[in-house]
Amino acid sequence: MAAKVVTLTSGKGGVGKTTATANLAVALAELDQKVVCIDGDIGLRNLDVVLGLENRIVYDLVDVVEGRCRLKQAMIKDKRNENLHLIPAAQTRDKNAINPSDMIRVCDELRPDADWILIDSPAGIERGFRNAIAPADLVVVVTNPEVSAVRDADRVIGITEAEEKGPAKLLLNRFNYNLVKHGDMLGAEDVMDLLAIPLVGIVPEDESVIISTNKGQPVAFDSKSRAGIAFQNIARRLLGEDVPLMNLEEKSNLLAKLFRSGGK
Amino acid sequence: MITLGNSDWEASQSSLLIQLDEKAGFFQGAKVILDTGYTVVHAADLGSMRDKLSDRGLVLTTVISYSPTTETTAQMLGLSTRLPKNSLEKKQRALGNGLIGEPSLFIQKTLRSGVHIDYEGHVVVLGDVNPGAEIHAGGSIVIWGKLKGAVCAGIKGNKNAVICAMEMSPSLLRLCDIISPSSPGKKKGAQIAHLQNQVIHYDHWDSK
Repeated sequence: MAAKVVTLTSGKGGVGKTTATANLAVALAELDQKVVCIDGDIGLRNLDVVLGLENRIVYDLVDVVEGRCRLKQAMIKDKRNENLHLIPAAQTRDKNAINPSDMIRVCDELRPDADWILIDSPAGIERGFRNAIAPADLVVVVTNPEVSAVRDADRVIGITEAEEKGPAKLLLNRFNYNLVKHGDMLGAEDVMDLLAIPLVGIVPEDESVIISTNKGQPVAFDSKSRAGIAFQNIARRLLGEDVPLMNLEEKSNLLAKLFRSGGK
Repeated sequence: MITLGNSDWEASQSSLLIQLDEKAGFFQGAKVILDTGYTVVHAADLGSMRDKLSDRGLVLTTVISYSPTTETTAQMLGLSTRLPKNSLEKKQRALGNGLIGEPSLFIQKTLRSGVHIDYEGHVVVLGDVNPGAEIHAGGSIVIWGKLKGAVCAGIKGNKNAVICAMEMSPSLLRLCDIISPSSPGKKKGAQIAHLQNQVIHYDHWDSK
């Protein structure tokens, strides 16, 4: 095995990088892939919370880099799925605690024993971001259909191109079909037109994501939720399967049907 | 100012770093201008050089190069490619038949947010100019794509400078020191902006 390193980044904060990392990791693990997630957001860690592994942290990434423990000791194995592992960030340090070559070294050590290494990048384009993209084989830019998020995504894509990290891929998160239909939100075409990079998937806005995030049980475990299905589809696309985009219109029809049946 | 000449990048890089390490105290906080001669330096190399210099407390500000690839790379990384006073000196080339060619920078790439291009000649972009990207040119700017960023042409007072784009919706458009009062509106198709009596005019850009 030689793992592929995927870094999820966005520039702007709050677009769902951590949620997307957690869910993609779960979806890949459920497809029998061995996955290691690395939380790159040192000082503001929360991938552990979203994955529900918060109270199992003993060592973290900075401990590994500074030689206080072995890599295997910092790796938390998820009990729900044996394929899923997390290397948490340190909460009491800052981004300068590690540098890009540390990240490359850690990833190279992990590569032989994993299929996928997912790195959750911090917001911004400073040191933490540089650390996160340094080892990446593939950069996935997460954005929302909002003008500000798209502008930041554009900047990040420009930087990854300049660093010769290959063409980035786009994950459009929190897509609200009804708002787009009424012209109140940027459509997928508008975003694609500006950013001009390949799309890896669109995740619809879904309340169950917030609920599951707070519970530490990513939606990708739950095959029924629409966001969960979207993440599973993205995982299959990463594995090279040709999965069509889900019909985003469906939801309003389903809801309309529900309302109609409820009215009877 | 460090001149690396045309030698092998790897070798000159390592010898430079050794020298800097020896005199670490003296160079602390210095700004570095790198002259790479004709050597083609790729983005990854230049980026790692910048990181290594910053680890030693030096700031890489400028890369001077005769290689257009290296120049473009440096500009993409947000580094300057000209010495403050090193002007281009009208390096016009006679092409025969009374034609005179003028220096231009050709960029076959979409310019994304955060990219800043500063060039004393003309600038030609084969791609879009996205919001948040900036071009400053001494001459004209031709964009074979959508213009949504900020563009300033004729910055040294060249009143013949024009700005053309396949879709004209700049966030800012400046010719010499005149700033376009309003965006050209939602006119379809390619347009050309030019100066006429100190006022910016927009016309359809068709073959003339």
